[in-house]
Amino acid sequence: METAERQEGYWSIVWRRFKRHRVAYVGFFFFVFLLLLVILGPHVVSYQLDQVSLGERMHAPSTAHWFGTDELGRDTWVRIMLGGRVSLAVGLLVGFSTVILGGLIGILAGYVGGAVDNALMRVVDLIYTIPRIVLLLVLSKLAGPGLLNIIIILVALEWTNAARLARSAVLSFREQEFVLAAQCLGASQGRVMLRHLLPNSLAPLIVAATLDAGAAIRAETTLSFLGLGIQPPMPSWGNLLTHAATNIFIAPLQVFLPGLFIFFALMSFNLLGDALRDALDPRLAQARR
Amino acid sequence: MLLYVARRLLQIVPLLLFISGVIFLLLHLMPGDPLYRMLQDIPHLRAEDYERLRRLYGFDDPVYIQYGKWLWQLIQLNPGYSREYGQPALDIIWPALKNTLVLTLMAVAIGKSLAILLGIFSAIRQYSVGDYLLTGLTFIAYSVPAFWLGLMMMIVFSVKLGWLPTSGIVNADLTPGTWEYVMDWVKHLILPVAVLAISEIIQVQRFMRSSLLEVLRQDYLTTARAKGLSEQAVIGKHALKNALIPVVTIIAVTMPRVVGGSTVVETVFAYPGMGRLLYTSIMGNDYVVAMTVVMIIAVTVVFFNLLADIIYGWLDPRIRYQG
Repeated sequence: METAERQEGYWSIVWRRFKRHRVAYVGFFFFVFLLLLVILGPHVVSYQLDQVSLGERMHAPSTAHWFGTDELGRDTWVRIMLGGRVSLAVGLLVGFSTVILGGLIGILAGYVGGAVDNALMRVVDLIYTIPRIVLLLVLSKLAGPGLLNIIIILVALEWTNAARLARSAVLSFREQEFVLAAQCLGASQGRVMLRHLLPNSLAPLIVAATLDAGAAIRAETTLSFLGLGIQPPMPSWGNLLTHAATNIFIAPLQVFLPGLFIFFALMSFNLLGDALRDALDPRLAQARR
Repeated sequence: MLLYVARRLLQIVPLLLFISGVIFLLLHLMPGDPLYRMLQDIPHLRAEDYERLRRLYGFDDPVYIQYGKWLWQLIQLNPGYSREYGQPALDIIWPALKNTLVLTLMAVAIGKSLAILLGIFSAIRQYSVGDYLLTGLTFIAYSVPAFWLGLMMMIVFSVKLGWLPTSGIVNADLTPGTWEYVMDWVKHLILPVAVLAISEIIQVQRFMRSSLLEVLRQDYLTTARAKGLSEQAVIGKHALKNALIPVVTIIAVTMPRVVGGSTVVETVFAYPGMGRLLYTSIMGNDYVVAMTVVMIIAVTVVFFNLLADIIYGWLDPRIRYQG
């Protein structure tokens, strides 16, 4: 007779735990809400990104301009939504790329070991050694402004975190039977790494991706605020604040709003990261409390 | 132990050479002419004078020769002249370092001690309303970018209430030494100190809480209670000593910020410190100043990392170093 109950898979357990987590809902809701807002938001109103209206400079919010206008009379709602597309895209792309790059490097270092491991981990150490703000300032000045440049710089600096996590995960089960079994069945090194080691190190990597995305948004908005990173005419939540800050006495709301959206984005990624960590690794969650 | 320290000190030299080499190379790959400022100031400068100046300053040499010359000068503690200000780099850096030290030492003293107190409170009253409130607040505050926090405080305390100035270090029209001067100086410090102190609290409070919770589970505390010691003595004398060990190391590791300052906070409040100087010197191609600031930061980072390891071994006898 067939057993009535099917063995519950790993991902369905994770999904069940994630659903039980109230914080996860808040973070997930925030994130989807922000994403929909920046995608649909600009289409709801009829203003363009650079539609200057000198007669309406720094107006307070009204039915015509929901978030008011900036120092050139441009509609702040449209600018924040379009800036959000840029900032969120940076966060998502950087979070995704750091984990793929760092994950592969970490798995390679952990599995192959020896000189390869040593060399790769020295590179990681050296990136950690140089003060972060110095590297960020110098590299973004060197690369010049632009969306692609800032993404490349952030990935080049942030992949180390994922690499360390993947390496320590691989080290913990490199000698286990399922790896040996795969090797005995004649799997190539690449196949062992991608088909057996990668899926088993996914849990810490997914958490790292979420937290890295938040860190990337923080770094991008900070650099853009300082006048590096994303530069006008392309809007970003960071560079919208730069000009608004000079008019802080006349229109403080224009300073408040872009930052509020940065806060929402960071908050949603941090909440998601926390919830995912609890769902993916209950042992870790217990140890932290 | 002595052998360990000696070995670590020896490792510092190649590390600093590496850091300085990388930053030197990156700075020299940057677009922009270091003589640009001089060209602006002297409009009648001829092309051959320009060439002569480039040769004089060694800008036509290969990068490694320039690096060697720079390193040789630095070893003699004479990093050279700032091209932006036309003064010795150290004369530019010294006041910035003093400003930053005033700001960060106050922020660290207030922030770290508050963080430790709040962390202890959270751990002792685990799962109380106060603990939940603190944990929630630090989680929320962690998601607030520092520059926005600074701007928000400006809106409240400068724009709406008009109590505090938004930027700078002291009003230029006041005479140093008077009571008004000191008061104005303190008023300028309050907001940046507050922003930096809050970020200190966010980092250390959680750490202190989890470290003390870890210790509170240990058996020797049950022994202490069984001996009939008061709860105060158990926590204050037995638990805290061990719980503070990892916190002290974290504090040592974060200490380089005291010297390097915070570029973001100093920029928001237009505070003339090291963080801002790092930013303006990199932006203005003022290599000599930028490299000197970078080296000061790098040396403190390396030094405090070593100090953290030594303190850790000294406070926790379970850790033994091999020479």
